[in-house]
Amino acid sequence: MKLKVKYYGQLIDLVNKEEETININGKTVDSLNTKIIELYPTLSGFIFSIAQNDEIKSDNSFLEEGKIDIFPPFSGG
Amino acid sequence: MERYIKQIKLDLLGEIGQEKLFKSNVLIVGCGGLGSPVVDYLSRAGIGKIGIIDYDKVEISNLHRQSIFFEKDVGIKKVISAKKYIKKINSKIKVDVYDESFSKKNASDLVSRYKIIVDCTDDILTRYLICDITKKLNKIHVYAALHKNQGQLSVFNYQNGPNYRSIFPSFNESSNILNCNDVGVLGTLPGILGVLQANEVIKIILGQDEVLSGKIMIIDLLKNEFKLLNITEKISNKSNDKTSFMSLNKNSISLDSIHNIKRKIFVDLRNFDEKPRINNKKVLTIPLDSIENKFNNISKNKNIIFFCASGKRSLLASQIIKKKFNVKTYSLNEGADKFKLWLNEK
Repeated sequence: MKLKVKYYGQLIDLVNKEEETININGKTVDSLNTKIIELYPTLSGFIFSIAQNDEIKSDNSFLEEGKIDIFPPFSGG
Repeated sequence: MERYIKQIKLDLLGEIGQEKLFKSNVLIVGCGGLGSPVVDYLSRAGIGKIGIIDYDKVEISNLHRQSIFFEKDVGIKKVISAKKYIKKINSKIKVDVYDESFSKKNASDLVSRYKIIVDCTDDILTRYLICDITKKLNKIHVYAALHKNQGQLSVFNYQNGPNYRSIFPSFNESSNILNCNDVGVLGTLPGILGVLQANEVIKIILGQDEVLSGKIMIIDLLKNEFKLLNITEKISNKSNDKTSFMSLNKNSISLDSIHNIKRKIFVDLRNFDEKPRINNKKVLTIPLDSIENKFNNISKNKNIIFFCASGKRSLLASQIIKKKFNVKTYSLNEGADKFKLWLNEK
């Protein structure tokens, strides 16, 4: 499944891009998580959240082809 | 009431609403980029009691964004300057200041005294602490945080709504945190986010329906994007079974209990250009970004205590070393300023 992923905050610095298209094998948030860690091992253990259609998704929920937002907690104040 | 005539005219407020504001109380955790506009707008709105906790002093580099401080305040404790600022606006506001860091030790006591906690810290670990304490004591957590040109805003724990862990639940001892990066920021971003936090506080006190609960706003000021993401119930439920932050920081230590540790060596994780410098035979300097490579150079016969400017990098270093070398180290809660004073007093 093809996903157009948009990164936020510190993730942009860590993956060195704001957006990209990712192909995943499964259809769940978990499969996207796995793919992201495979592409960027440095993100292993980091906290981030995934949203689609303006809804934050739990790990076992299903995704559909389209846009995805991935954002970490921001630290600055 | 003449002072508030412009806002009393609003149907939203009226004299009854103004009275609600004056009878309310708010704790502001952190008095920096976010805390400054929160202090400013909440005191001007007529909040009756404001608590502020921050252990820092005003620095010249704060002035480009922390609008309640001025050149004459540099070197003075932020909470002292902030209190003077509020009193200039309205001498009748009760202001409680706490010149200390927000920690496990004081969190329950402080939070229990206020109804709304405004999270203006610059540290993710403190945010988890605020999340867990507000949840435990059933207080409202008004959250904002920023990175470069982007910001996040939400109201947590409001009328049984979701909390910080509902969005970022998986924090535990093996999690990495995206912290400690001293990245740049334009003054306008914390200015806007802090005003939005103050706005949410006022809406909460007035009992408005459209409080930013159950969703998180992500803004990008360079792109003029304001995105609202819903926090689904499914995610909200996940947050109940996660590790409490209260049990997490078992490797952190304060100066007042440091005498319990024998054969200690201190490691300064700050960069070589950060002040004040500390010259002492028991202090090594190894900046955070090289600690993994140089850790083996430190004698393992000693108890290693990390410190930095504020306690954030030291906590991170403790986590990194535990994960990579399975060695217990300590993270000093206090920053280099207080540590240097403590050394001088010894």
